[in-house]
Amino acid sequence: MNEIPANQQSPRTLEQVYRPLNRRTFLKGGAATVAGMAGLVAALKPLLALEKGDLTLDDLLQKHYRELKPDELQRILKSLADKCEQERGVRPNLRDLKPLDGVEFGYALNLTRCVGCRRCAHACLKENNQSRDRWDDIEMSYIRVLEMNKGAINVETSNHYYAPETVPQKDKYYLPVQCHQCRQSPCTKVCPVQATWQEKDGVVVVDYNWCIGCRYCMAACPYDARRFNYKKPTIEKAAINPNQGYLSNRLRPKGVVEKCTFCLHRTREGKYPACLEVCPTGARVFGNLLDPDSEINYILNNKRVYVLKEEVGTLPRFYYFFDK
Amino acid sequence: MKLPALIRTALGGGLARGWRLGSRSPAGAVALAGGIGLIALLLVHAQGVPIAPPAATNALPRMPVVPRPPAQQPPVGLAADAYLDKTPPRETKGLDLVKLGWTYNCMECHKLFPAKWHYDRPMNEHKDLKLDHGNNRFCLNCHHPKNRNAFVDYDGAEIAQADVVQLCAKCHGPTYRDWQAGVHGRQNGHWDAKKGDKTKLRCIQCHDPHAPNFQAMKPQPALVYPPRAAHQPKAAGAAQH
Amino acid sequence: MRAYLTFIWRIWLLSWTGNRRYYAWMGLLTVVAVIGANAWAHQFVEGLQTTGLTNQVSWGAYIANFTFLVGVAAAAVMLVIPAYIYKKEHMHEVVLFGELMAIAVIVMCLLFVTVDLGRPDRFLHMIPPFGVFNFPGSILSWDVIVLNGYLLLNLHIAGYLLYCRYHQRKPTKRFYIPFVFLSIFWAVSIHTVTAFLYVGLAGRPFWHHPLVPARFLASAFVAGPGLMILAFQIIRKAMRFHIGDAPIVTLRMIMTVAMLINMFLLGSELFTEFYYPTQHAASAH
Repeated sequence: MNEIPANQQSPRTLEQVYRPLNRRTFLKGGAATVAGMAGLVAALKPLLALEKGDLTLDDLLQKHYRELKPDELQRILKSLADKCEQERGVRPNLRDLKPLDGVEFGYALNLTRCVGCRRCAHACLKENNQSRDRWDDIEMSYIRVLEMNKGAINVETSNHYYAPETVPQKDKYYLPVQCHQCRQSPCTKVCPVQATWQEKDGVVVVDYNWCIGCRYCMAACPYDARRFNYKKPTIEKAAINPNQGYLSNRLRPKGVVEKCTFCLHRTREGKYPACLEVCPTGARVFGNLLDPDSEINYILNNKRVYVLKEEVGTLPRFYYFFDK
Repeated sequence: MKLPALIRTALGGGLARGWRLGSRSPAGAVALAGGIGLIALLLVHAQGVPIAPPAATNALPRMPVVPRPPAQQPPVGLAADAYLDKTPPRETKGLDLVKLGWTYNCMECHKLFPAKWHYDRPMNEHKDLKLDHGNNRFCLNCHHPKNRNAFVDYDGAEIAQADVVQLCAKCHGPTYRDWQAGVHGRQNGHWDAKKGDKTKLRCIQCHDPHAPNFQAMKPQPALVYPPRAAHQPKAAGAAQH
Repeated sequence: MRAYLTFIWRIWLLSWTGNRRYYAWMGLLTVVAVIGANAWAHQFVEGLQTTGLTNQVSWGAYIANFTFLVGVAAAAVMLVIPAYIYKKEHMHEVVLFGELMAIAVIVMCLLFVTVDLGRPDRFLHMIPPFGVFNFPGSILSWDVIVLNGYLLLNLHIAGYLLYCRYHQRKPTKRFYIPFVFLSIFWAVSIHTVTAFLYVGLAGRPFWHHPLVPARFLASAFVAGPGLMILAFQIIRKAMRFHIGDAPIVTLRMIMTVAMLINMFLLGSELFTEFYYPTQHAASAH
């Protein structure tokens, strides 16, 4: 097995192989290099179309949200507001709302009452400044309403494209799904750069200035609660909601993941989230889990609740219950 | 323009019905009387208010202007949230006469109409009512027999119109309990009482008391995933996937 | 050090010499790469919408290719094990090809991950002194470590062996044998960690299955040597470098065994998923 004669090379052949540069190889190599570089430059030409301000040194050097000093954060907030005003023509009331003390948010949804009208999903688009200029460009809403067959609780048989003349349909019930703000959140666990984390009040947030857009968290979420900005959000000036939070509904850049934050720019100011505000049937119940007299605790104490996909072990803060 | 037609309907309808039914039951006579009474009432009322210059095509005087718009509901939620569509599922219709500017005082008409359990022949007003509320087949199940501005309690006492929730609570105990706790029906505004108020809708702002089941509604469009490949810029190698 | 740089420079020069067929092939590859660069430039400007992915299907061919190439890289170990553990002399001649192939595919892996990022401009966030590295929590951060580690290991081993050959001297065992053994474990780890990337997602029942890492390895040990055999055949035909039949026969045997294991695991997996229609396999039905 040891005779591999062809591979025994002599110094002479080696010298031949590594022969010094001559005029011909130089020209050949040079021409090929020039052609290759020209091709590369031509190929990368689309990069010139980058809008001004899409890629700034400040953005590249920004620190993680939780390492920012207050004055640094204020400076970033101001530059983001300036950018929004410059690009969109609206000066947002952009601020960074911290979690409230003694508050842990919980949400409950009454499946007996939900009629599947999708008003929550559309209010979400409005509240959170998501693209909605075209009818076929409204995928970003954080809420999907699943149409379920009565007699089944298996989401695999559900349909979220339902479009009958009227809802509710007789043999169906409706299951809106949004971020469950899990106590054991798989999404925050898998993020390689800690761009998403759970806040003190239980809300799972994303730092849009830190996310690298790998979408691993989307793969990890069992509830399809995360959305990715496959493009820069398109939104008309008049449609922009100027009440914005750094970690919630400020205008996102492209290429980052976002999600439901229980409208923290509203709820951390004591208001109800937008989806609850518009629900025509009052199927949604929101409140402070740490307050024994809150509405959410009334539900947990008096109704039989369940959580979606309990077997995954996510321990959601979002509960479903039936009234009758 | 609508008023003469209305009166004609009231008169004609009332008379015709009263006549037809009168042949079968004594209640018809009441209806007949009611029809005449209504006209009398209209005339009396019209004379009681300052008379506006008569319109060219209409001999009847204009209706009085009441300061409060009829059947007004309190606002839902915070003024700052006006951009969110918070329309309750039910628009209270308001009575025809009230819409024309009449006061909301039911007794203006009903002082002439005695309370009867089997009073199932409304003439002009309330004709559109379809009573589909479980076991409640009669007006007086809920409305007070003497004071039509109020509802009736178990013991015959009056429940003020504003306290309609107390009326519903007579039968819907568990729902009332949930409503009190804030988990049935709509609440808007602030979840945190320290930060601000909340508005709480009452039963009849969502449920039509005469047919309390929710009406089916049109769903808003589904959230579609854009067919991205379809409207692609001409990018040469973009079809990489 | 200087000598090593000269060595690298000479390799670079060497890469410009060849016959017309070599130039045609390299030219073709360059054209493909340039088209890819152009597509990526478009994607960078317009966002990942150019890929046609949606929120429903958020990972696509990029990640699939990444996973496949990790497998091929891991399979290089199938040349290393017979050569260094079982001391098969004939494998020593070709083991270098396996390591070079591993370098090439790991580079491709890293590129595939990079183009899949929504914000490649923020890749620094993944590199510890500049960013916040979610280690050991995130399996993706493990993957960054094992892939780059494997790349460095192979660069060292292949670089050292080639350098010794260039100097016509026998490689010193102490400088590369420990790394060779490390790379054997490391190769298993890169594919295992990549499998854990999927297995760790409890919300995806079809992925959340203990057989997945074993199957990843078994199938990689079929696909990788298969690719190597094809490469050997091309090298035999197109180049002066002679490769005997013995390495190919060894690889064939490895493939046969790995394929049997793979098919057995596949069968067990299919049985578990489809014998009873549980929700576990609902997405596959």
